[in-house]
Amino acid sequence: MKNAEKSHKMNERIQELAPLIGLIVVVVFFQIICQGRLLTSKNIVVLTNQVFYILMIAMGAIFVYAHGNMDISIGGMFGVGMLVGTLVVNATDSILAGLLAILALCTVIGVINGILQDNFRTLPFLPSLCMMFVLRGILTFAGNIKTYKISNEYAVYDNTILKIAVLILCGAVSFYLFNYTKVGKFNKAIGGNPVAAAQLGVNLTKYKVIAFTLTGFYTGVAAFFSMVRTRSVTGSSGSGTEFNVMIALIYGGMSLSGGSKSRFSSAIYGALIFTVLGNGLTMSGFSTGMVALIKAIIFMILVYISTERTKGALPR
Amino acid sequence: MAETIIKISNMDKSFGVVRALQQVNFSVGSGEIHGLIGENGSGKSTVSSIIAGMQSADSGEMEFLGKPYQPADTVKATEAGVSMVVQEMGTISGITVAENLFLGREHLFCKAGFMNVGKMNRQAQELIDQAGIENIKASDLIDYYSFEERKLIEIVRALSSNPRLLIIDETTTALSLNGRNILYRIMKEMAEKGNSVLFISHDLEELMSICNILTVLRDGIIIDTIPKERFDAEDIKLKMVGREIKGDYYRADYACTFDKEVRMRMEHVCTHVLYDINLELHKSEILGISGLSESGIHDIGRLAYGIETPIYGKVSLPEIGSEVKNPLQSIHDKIGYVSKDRDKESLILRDSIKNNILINAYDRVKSGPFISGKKEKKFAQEQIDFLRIKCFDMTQFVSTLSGGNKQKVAFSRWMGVDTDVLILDCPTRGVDIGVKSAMYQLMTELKKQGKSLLVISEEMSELIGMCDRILVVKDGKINGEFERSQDLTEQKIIQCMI
Repeated sequence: MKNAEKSHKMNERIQELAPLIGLIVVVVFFQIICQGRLLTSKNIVVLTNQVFYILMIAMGAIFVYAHGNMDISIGGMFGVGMLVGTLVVNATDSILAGLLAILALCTVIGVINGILQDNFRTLPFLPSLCMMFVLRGILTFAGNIKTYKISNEYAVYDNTILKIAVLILCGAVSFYLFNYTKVGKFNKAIGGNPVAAAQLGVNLTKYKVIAFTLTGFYTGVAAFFSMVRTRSVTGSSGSGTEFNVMIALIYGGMSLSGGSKSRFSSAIYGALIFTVLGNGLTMSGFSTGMVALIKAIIFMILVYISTERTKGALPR
Repeated sequence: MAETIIKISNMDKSFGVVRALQQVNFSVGSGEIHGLIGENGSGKSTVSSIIAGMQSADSGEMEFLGKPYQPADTVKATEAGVSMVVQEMGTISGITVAENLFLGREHLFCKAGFMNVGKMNRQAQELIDQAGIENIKASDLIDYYSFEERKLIEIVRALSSNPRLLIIDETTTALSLNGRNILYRIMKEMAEKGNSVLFISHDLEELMSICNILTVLRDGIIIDTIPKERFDAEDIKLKMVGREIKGDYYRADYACTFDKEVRMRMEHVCTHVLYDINLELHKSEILGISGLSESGIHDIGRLAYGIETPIYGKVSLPEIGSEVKNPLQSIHDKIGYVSKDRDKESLILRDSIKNNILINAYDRVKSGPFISGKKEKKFAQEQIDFLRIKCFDMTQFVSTLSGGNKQKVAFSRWMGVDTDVLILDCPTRGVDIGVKSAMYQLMTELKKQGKSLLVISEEMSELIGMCDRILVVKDGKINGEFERSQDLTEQKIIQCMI
């Protein structure tokens, strides 16, 4: 009894701490390999700008991952958000109108994702895959006509301090929703056992729609800051973001099947590990292709480790 | 002395903290029909599933026909000569009877990559005829046949590998008299041929008439092995339970007592399986629903809680003038439900005891807009203490608990929130005797508090012991009603449901 209790506590601790240890290892490793260039003040600003998008979106996407699903339309939302924002800014000359347009659009797409999710009785990720094709289609179509630009004067909003402030604000909201309200608790419960959750009065539709809506909103925030940073939109804007977010969350210890082990910290640790790894490998002289390959291999290993395997045919 | 077919020595098996088997020793000789009896959770199914290769023991040895025997899986066990017919449904729908019979052995009929379906069907039909079963065609889809006929097909499948040892695990509850007679004949033929049968059943009378030797298990320990000459029902019951069954186990009174107010009413309710169900559940009443598992009894519980909605008719709550629509509404209307399939439907196994208890109670543990961790813990601890859930920490996963404690977690959700109607579907399924007794006490206590309980169960003794009224369901219809009395016997109910 005592031993079982101890090993239970141990396991809990290890699972909680593993992503943090991973982060420390990655930071120390690249700090040494790059001869201290990883943590210079200049590179920290670079890192902050890189980590911003992944972390922002991940803080919304954790709700969808907690209920055992994923949103594949994130990249499409990101790109179309930038496109619409650019058009609105150019039409109105108001950055605020652009921001509101992006947020409204991405939130609405999130709601639609959630509703589709509930009505398509199929593989859980398929509805968002359909949405991705629609959004990518729009973006490719628009991108073929021309490259959309906004004036360079808007670069003032690409401010590291501002981004950090927004991250903290959005993070606090997400943290609160995830740990202190039914939104987080129920999404985790749905990931654990949707049948039981429904029988105990959890409105599956409502909480899944909320999860997708949050993902949409947070993607919108990230898309706005990407727009003021790059100030141009092409057909490939935002592509691949959904998978970067997924990889980051897995790095951070999120389980692809969601449930009780989902933690808010997965978003933070995961985004940091993902960014430091990419940044460190690039500084060590690896080509972009190699960086992607190494990230993929680590991802594969982590998925293998984190997937639960049952043995034996008939449990009794 | 006859040849020993299987010998088990010093077998131990634990599930987490629960010791399912402790130093089990017994052997089955050729020509024996060996009965295994014990309460739920006494270890009967554990022993038989280990012999059949479904799981392995923690320690101990098995000898089969004089040789060491350690089957890695059921296929290996079947090859060695052990077949088992399991309690739950073991046929696959969508394929034919013959394909079910030869599942996993299709290669017997294969030549150059092609399967000779005709040969397979002929051979399957032969096996069915040999077993003396009529009206089953090997080439038909299995879906054409009833639950009972499928059970018989499973028995034929178990026989088709010519086993030396046949294990029958609680199969007879699903069979009618005719089906039982077929099974008894098959068992006797096995024994006459010098093979043996390990027969597991709840029904003591049945065991006493069929078996020539009985082993009694209690809490994973073998209490006694009794030859036919010494069979005595009272003595065996006493050994099973370990004490007199009278007294505090079931309700002590024999009066049918409940208030006049109707809490829940079903009027002309029809679904795909139920036909014209009318019932009234009163305040402070324990209403039992009895019937075969497939008769629709579980659907009544699902209707009463709103997981299913009727095609015709309605389920209403006259006191508050509301109708049962869905679980969310039901919880609001103070109805609680404990599902029969607790692992799949009522628990989140890979989540903590705390979160499982709190899932329908988060509104009660808030501090302003925040769900308070402190209040969560206090609430969960109250429920754990109240029901004496055996665990070392409320953050422990529910999957690590024993069946009885899992059931307590499922119960505990409705204790902390205020419920008027509690629907219990097989509340003591797979629960050990201590927990069972605690559940019955709790049910009596809830009745005294004026709550209404709808208890659905396949165990007639528990319904007779606890309920004010029992409704018997047969083929989706209510076929009879019994009031609580001392003269009510299982026989009377069985006649009504078959």
